[in-house]
Amino acid sequence: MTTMPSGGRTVLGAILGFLGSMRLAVWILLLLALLTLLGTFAQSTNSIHDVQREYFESWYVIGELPISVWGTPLWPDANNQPWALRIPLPGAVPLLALLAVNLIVGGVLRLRWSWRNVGILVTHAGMLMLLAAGFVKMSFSHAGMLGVFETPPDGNLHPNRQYVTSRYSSAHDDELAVLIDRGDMIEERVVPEHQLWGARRGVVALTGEDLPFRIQVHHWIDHSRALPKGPMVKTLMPVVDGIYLESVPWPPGVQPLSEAELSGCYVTIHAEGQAAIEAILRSRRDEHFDKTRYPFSFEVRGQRYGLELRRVTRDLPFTVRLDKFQKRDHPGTISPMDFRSFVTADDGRSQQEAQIFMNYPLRRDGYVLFQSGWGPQGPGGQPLGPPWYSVFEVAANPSDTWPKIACWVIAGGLLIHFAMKLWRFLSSSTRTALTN
Amino acid sequence: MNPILRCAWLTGLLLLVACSRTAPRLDGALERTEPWPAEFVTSFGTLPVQKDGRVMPFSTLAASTLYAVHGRRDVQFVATDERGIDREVKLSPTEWLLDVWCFPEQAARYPLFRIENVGVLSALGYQHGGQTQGFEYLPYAKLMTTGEKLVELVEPIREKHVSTQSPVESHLLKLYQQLIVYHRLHMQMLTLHADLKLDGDRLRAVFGGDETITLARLLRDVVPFRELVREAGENFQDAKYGNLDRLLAWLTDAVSRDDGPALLPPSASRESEPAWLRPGEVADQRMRGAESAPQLASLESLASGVRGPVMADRVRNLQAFREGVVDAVAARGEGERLALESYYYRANWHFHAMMTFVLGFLIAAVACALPRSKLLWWASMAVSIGAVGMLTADVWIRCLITGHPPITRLYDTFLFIGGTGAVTLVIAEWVLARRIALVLAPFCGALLIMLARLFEVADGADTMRPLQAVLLSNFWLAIHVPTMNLGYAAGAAAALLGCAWVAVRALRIAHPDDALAKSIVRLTYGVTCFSLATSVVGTILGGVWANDSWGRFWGWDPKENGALLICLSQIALLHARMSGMVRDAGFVLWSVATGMVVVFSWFHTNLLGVGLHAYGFSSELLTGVWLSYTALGLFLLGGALDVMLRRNPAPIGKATPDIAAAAEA
Repeated sequence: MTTMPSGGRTVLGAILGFLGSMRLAVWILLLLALLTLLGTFAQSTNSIHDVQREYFESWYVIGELPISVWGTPLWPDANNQPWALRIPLPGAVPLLALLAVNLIVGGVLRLRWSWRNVGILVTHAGMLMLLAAGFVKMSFSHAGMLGVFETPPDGNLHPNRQYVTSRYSSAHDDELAVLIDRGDMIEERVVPEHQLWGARRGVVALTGEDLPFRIQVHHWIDHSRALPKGPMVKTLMPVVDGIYLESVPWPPGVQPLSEAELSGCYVTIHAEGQAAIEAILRSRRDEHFDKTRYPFSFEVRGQRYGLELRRVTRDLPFTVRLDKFQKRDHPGTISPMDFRSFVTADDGRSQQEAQIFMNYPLRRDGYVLFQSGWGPQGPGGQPLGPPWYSVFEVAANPSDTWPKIACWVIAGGLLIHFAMKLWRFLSSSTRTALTN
Repeated sequence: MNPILRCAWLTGLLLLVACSRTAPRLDGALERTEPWPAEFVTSFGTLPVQKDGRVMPFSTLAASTLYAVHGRRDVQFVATDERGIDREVKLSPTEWLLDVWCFPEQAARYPLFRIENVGVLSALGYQHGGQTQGFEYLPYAKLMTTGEKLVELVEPIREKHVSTQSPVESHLLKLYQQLIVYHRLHMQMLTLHADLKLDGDRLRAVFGGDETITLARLLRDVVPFRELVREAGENFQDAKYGNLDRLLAWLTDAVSRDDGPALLPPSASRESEPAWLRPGEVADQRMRGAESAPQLASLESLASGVRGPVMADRVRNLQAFREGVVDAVAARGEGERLALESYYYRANWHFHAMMTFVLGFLIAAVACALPRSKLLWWASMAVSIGAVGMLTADVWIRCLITGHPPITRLYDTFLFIGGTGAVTLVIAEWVLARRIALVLAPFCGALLIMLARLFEVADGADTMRPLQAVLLSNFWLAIHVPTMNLGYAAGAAAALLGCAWVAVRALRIAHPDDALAKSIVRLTYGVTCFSLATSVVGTILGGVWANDSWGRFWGWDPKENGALLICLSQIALLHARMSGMVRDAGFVLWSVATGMVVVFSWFHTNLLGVGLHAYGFSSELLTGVWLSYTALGLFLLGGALDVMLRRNPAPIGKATPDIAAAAEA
């Protein structure tokens, strides 16, 4: 039961009034603007993926505003980066949620449904659709990269090249897999990367109901390399089998690329009656310089186990074969005018031949494949093929086409509203009064 | 003194300082003693050449190269003529490039490379008299004496990111890049100028007993020369072959160092062989046994043209070369828009539009002083509309030449936003004729065209160069980019109106409750609504394009964020206005602040060095961005202080509270 505050309104009414107020909308929009601005500046020192996670997919953030005057950093650090003012802010998740509530309550439910407001109502409906598309994308979509070599016309396939595949791997996300050797099969237990981030500064303990050991993950490094520990090398990092992990800094002024990062960590396996087992894990291995055992295998009570830090992989419901890759350059340059892949998608029942090139993806079974890259390339994009390979970005997003519909809805709403406003102004006495 | 008069004095003084620049002096005497014939310069300017992936007229190549190395639209210097009298020489880009081709020794002495920071001179070991307001201009010949030192200095700088370079370091790097551009042009033609000395009877016998030959001659008689080389085999250093070894070394060098523009169309079709040939490549093909007869004939004309002792001979041979290339281009079905491009640069419609806008601005200023004159109002409107027409013609011709919608490069945005901003303000003036938008429309148009011209020179690149693969979608280029830029234009127009309100209030031209001030607020409101509609639709369309191209609707790229910031600022502003959080003063000052957001989105996001739209850092552009922030910031701060300190300024003239009430409604 609600009580009546002074002024004759119910508490519920007051809450709804606050949630649907224009003043709240203004403050939310200003906070979103500040968040966007700081998120943009943050990209000078962080990868877009990290900024997205910290600013735009978070509940709160300590934003940093770099202070510079006429492009000259004030109180610069050793890398000539300006001193930054730290501002605590709500993240985009609560702000967008509140904005959606504000739009529903104030912009749709409490707004007078009249012909005069039809443009605003339509615009607000389009905005809600856009927010819904963003929510669905954040919650239910996934994306990754699929690389495949051009199939040789003579059918002479190279054993180490992938010509037909349905598997694509995430561009950013890793996972830690515990492999259990069951004799005729390998059973996997998977821990997503974000559950291991606590190991950057501490220790993350992992246990399994039927696992006779406990895993401690520590010294997590987002962008790492493994180096041999020579007699002249000094390091504070643990050394395992003569190898230690080191964080690889990005050059000053260069934006980090999360897709190029190689995460790494240390694991300690504790089993009863056995000495602790130490290991170094990395998400990808460099054959020449990385001496870590991969995947790392060990035995507890006679049972063989393995540990693997790897990119998250998923399967398409069809295979992709690259029949031909074609690249045309602007005359006399190595700058591509057009590069396209002639592919065959096969789900076992039917085959589909298609061309994938810039702005023309392949859409099939709820997945979209985009031409993302090609290779091999040398310095400055110098083509080193054939043989060529294509890299496709794979996206599965249930709300893929919603923004397009929202765009037309919003455009229509704004057009109706502003046209009506202009018409009213042109035919009012105010115009005459202001002109004379 | 009246503030308007004070501004006029200051502007005049600045113009005087700008015009009083003394031209640098040419070292040594002039080799070319007569000017290039004007008709020949115009005609030769249409010679087709291939550079950066497209066929362009010689005049375009000359202009973009001159902007890149000299940072000006012409070359000016003082030279002593054959009678010992000093005279000022002014060369157009085409004349300058003709000199580089035909008089390389003289052109190498032109004061071309601008040094703005004496730290660069110190680093290179040159004497100087300290930092002055003027610039030093170094010639290529002098700079090459310290070329090795420059390479040594630049090597570690290239490893550094642009944001971590000091001003002297970035200047040194720019100087190095300019030197490379000039060096390629210089060396390409130097090969054709070279006299190759022949030693030994065997070698001379191949060329009819001549003691010296040119590259063109060598290529003409390449068959016996090739036989001699084959005969010599690995013994080409043997004394009996004279200086064959040095000749071959020179030839190899000439082929490999030719990095200039491609001047000779191949005989094959455009589809099978799209890339043109450089003189060095023709030499290479001939040495490998290719016939290349048409290219050889063209090369001989070119060589005779650039080397001829008499001006008339040079002109005749160069014209023959041009005609040969034009015929070959026509046979390949290429360069169908070359004539149009030559016309485009000759007609210079955007320059005429700028001057017409200036005229429109002056008439509008007089119209403000004589508020009863309807004739002046009509005259200013007509002149501004005429200027918009000229600018539209300019943009339209660019579209025809490139085969793309109006905006493909940052340069295009200046012209488009200048035109659409002026149109927005003209319409605003038509809706509410208070002569404020009448003044601002031509001001906006002229300012943006002037900035386009400054940017063109500072950027130093061909403004019609081919696009990267992802942008080759005329559908999206036609709908997303212009819509977004309409949003920028209207946002900038709203900011200008806001500045006008601040000026009108601060200079006590009108009381905030007067109809004039209320009209400006109304106009700002209307223009902001238009800007919001186009910005929102443009931003979402950009997302839809990104979804088609890269598989994600929104990637938090700085450019995307900039567009979002404009939308957020304007939506917040309109809601704040509706909810009564801001009134007239708050509304216009917020519009000025949104103008800063427009500048951030339009340019600053490109200069952050991150994301998909980091097209390249330009210190000139960054200076322009900060200049815009400062100007708008001063209006914002000054306006805010004026509103806070003089909350209720004394009425000026006849107060019109009834109108104010009507406007509030």
